[in-house]
Amino acid sequence: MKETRNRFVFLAAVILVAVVPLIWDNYYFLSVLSTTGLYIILVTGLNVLLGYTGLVSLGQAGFYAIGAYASGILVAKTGAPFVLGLLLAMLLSGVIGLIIGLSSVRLRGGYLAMVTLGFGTVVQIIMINWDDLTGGAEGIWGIPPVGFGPLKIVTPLAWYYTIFIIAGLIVLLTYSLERSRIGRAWMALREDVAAAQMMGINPVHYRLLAFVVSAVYSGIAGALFTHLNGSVFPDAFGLQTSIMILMMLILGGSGHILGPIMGAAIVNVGFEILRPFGNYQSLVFGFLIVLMAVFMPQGFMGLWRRLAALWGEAI
Amino acid sequence: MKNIGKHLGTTICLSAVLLVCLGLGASHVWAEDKATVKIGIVYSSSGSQAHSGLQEANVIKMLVDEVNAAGGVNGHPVRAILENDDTQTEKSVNAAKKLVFSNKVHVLMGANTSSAIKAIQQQVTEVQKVPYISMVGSDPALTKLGQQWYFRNSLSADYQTGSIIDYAMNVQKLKTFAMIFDAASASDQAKAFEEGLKKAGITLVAKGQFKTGDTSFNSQLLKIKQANPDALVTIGVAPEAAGIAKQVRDLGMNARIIGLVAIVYDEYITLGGSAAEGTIAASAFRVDNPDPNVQAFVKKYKSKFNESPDHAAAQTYDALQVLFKALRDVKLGLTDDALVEDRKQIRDALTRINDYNGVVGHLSYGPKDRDAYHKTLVVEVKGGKWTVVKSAK
Amino acid sequence: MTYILLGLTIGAIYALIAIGFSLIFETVKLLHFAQGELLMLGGFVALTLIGLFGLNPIIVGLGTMAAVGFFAAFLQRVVYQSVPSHLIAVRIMATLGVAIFLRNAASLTWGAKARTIPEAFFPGGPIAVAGLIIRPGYYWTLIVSIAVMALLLWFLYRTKIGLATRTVAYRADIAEMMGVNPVLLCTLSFGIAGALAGISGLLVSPQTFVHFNMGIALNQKGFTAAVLGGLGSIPGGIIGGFVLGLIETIGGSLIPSGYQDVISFVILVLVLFIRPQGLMGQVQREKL
Repeated sequence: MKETRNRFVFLAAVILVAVVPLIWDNYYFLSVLSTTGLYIILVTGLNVLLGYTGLVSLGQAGFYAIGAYASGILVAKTGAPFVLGLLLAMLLSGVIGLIIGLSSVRLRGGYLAMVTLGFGTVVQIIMINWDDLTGGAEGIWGIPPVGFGPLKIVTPLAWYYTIFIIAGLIVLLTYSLERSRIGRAWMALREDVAAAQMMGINPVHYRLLAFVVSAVYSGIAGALFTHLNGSVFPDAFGLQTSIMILMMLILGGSGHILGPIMGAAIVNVGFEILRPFGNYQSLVFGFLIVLMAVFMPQGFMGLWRRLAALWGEAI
Repeated sequence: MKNIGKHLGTTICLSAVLLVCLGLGASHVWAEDKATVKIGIVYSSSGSQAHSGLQEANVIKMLVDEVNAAGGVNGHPVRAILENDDTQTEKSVNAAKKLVFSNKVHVLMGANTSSAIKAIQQQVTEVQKVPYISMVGSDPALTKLGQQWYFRNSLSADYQTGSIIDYAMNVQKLKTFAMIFDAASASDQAKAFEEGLKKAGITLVAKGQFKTGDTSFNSQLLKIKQANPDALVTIGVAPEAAGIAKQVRDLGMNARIIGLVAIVYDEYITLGGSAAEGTIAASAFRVDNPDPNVQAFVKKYKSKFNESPDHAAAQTYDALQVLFKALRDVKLGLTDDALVEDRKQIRDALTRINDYNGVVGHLSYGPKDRDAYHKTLVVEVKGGKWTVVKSAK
Repeated sequence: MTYILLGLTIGAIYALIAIGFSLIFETVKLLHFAQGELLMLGGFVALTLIGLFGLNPIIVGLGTMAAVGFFAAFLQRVVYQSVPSHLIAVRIMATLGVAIFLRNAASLTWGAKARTIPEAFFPGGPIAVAGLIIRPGYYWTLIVSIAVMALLLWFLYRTKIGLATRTVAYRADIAEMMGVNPVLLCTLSFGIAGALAGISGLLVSPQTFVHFNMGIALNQKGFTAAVLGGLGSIPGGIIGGFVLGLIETIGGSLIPSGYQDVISFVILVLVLFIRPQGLMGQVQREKL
């Protein structure tokens, strides 16, 4: 029953994603959706770390930046194809993810949060200062369009589909991870480390794996970001971005596979919807975050689960 | 039973998301104005550049209200649509996209950082062929990359440096220069200054950097102190520059402080106190310009907003007046079909603006020259006020 | 010598913020990412009070402490208390939301321009030492940070309420059994931390100026200092602050500028790996 339900959901989602842009092919709208797609990938990465394994990270923007710059620099300086840029992004962010993940061996909770926060900040500082490589604060512009062989991804619609196809694959992959032995190990570590160890789960291995997976996802999102915009600059990878990712995860529902999707959609679209508030846009935004923290700490999927349980009981 | 609940519910969830998306799309499309000239403005009403963003918004609202009260442009009402970007480049681009694609504006204005302006140029206005005027932004690259649709209504860093370096060397007889600059937001200005110095045959004896938001500059300044420069070039915005000035004096350094337009705000003096005295800088707009037009503008702004206008306000004022002039010179269709042609006409009309006497100075645009102003003044902090020590030629 | 003096003056600022962080962490078990914004609030409130009452250090100082103190207590009671304490990520998010809200509220209420407290506000004049000029703002910060530390330590270790507060921090259930109201005490602690932040904002304004974005950098530095000294330890906060100031000033002159902030990150990581309890803290617990 669960299988059929999930397949139904997935199909519905695919149709939704495929069809929506054909109804409204307004470029602004597509742009907001494409950004949402990027965030779905990023937030899924954080979900693996925080939602499944219970590791707080405030530095996801750091991995995002590494992926973005890796691919951007490679393609801009050597004209390499997109696939290579993507692979380099994944490799580099994965390796750094491993290194930063080592800190999770000794640190928990707030301390880990602080280290990852520092990491994210330092990456941004390096991007701003390492002029020769990264173009400094101005970044790299005019990166040639990329694609697969002769087929270049140029139009906003093409990018929309590219991003969502990759996002979809990542969500599928994560879903199967979630239901595998690895996923169960992660969740065991989140709940009770001692018990998990007694079951033979090595915390170090699985935590490092969570970090690597999360970092690689972010790296992929980074590469997509760079080539979507044709440019990369440090502005987009600050603490604010890491905070947004955390917010999206919590609002959507940490630990649930659909959490990142809900969260990314709500926050991205939500922020744009708040535009009529003009000067008060960010103020209302902050206020809503606080409201959500107080009244919906389990996020939308948490709320959803409770409602579904009630419905189930009512029937 | 429970599964049906979840089943149905998930569908409802996803439909809700769909509806929201549709709602988002719809809400931006139904706001169709017939026969209105639409100006879209991206500005920072929050974030680090809010002080200039808000002044721009003030002037725009003031002038658009005035124009509409007088019957509009060639009888057509004007509508200004303002979007906040929180001083973040990604959001600036998003705002620009919304204005261009959803609101279908005829002209785009704004953005308060050079990197946001560049991003908007590259991703929106140059590609979509929309005339775009910015009111601040000094990165020389903004007009040097063959932009076809952009107009810079502010002073490029290239123009700023010539006058001030000349004054520093020949009038004040300063020989050795050090520099400290904001690597996060002003590296383009720093580069331009360094090149200007090189042209005059000078190499910096020390260089330090900081980033926007820093409040302690001791370690950089201590290094610079060791090189004992005659002059310290401070490149950044007013609050950091003021902090640097104070710390320079506290460290016992006597170097003359030199800056660009970005520090010529009252804030620099209020925050810097006695340390700000003697600073020289390049500038464009003078609040105390006796020209009756300028004084009329200053008075109008002060009475409406209870503060003195600064560069951002003055440059916005000129930009809008010039835009209105261009709008009056063309015949616009103002329908959706005429959008592409309207935008092109407006851009062409803007390139014909020649020797317009604005509150900042004389401004011209040409088909190849997209910089409005070329002449710089030199100002100095004397007796707690920015005073002109060398006029623009 | 110059370096040491400069390091100490900036260190005093970090110390004040660090004490606030440590206090909140110790009593409420919360990493308050909006602490810098409380300082900002203090700065702005002080400016408003100066506008109303003139340059009167006593009235303005006390008024600022009261205003921010009450606001902080309100925050804890209404917002933070409502989030279950085991949901660390959600609590962090709540503080981040508060920070965003406060920043924007400040910008809308007091304007977007940076401002400063007039020099004449601080009694006494500048001192010239070793070729440097030390302004009153700096040495008052130093004096106040030490005074505050002494006061807090006296309060926590020599008064009944202080004992109750520490018990609540240690084991809230035990405290309750002893007839203590944990909620009330947490609110009180936050209030104290808020008052501290308020007066700190006033003191640091000659250096950092008062503007709505000032909290961001302060948060980061304050944290690092608190961790360095030992999160939860008040004397640790002071020592951590000074040590951080010194390392930054001296270290900053040795490395290419622009990378200064990397120093504080490196310090943070080193401390957390080698000696996670900081210089003065007790051995850390496994879970927060």
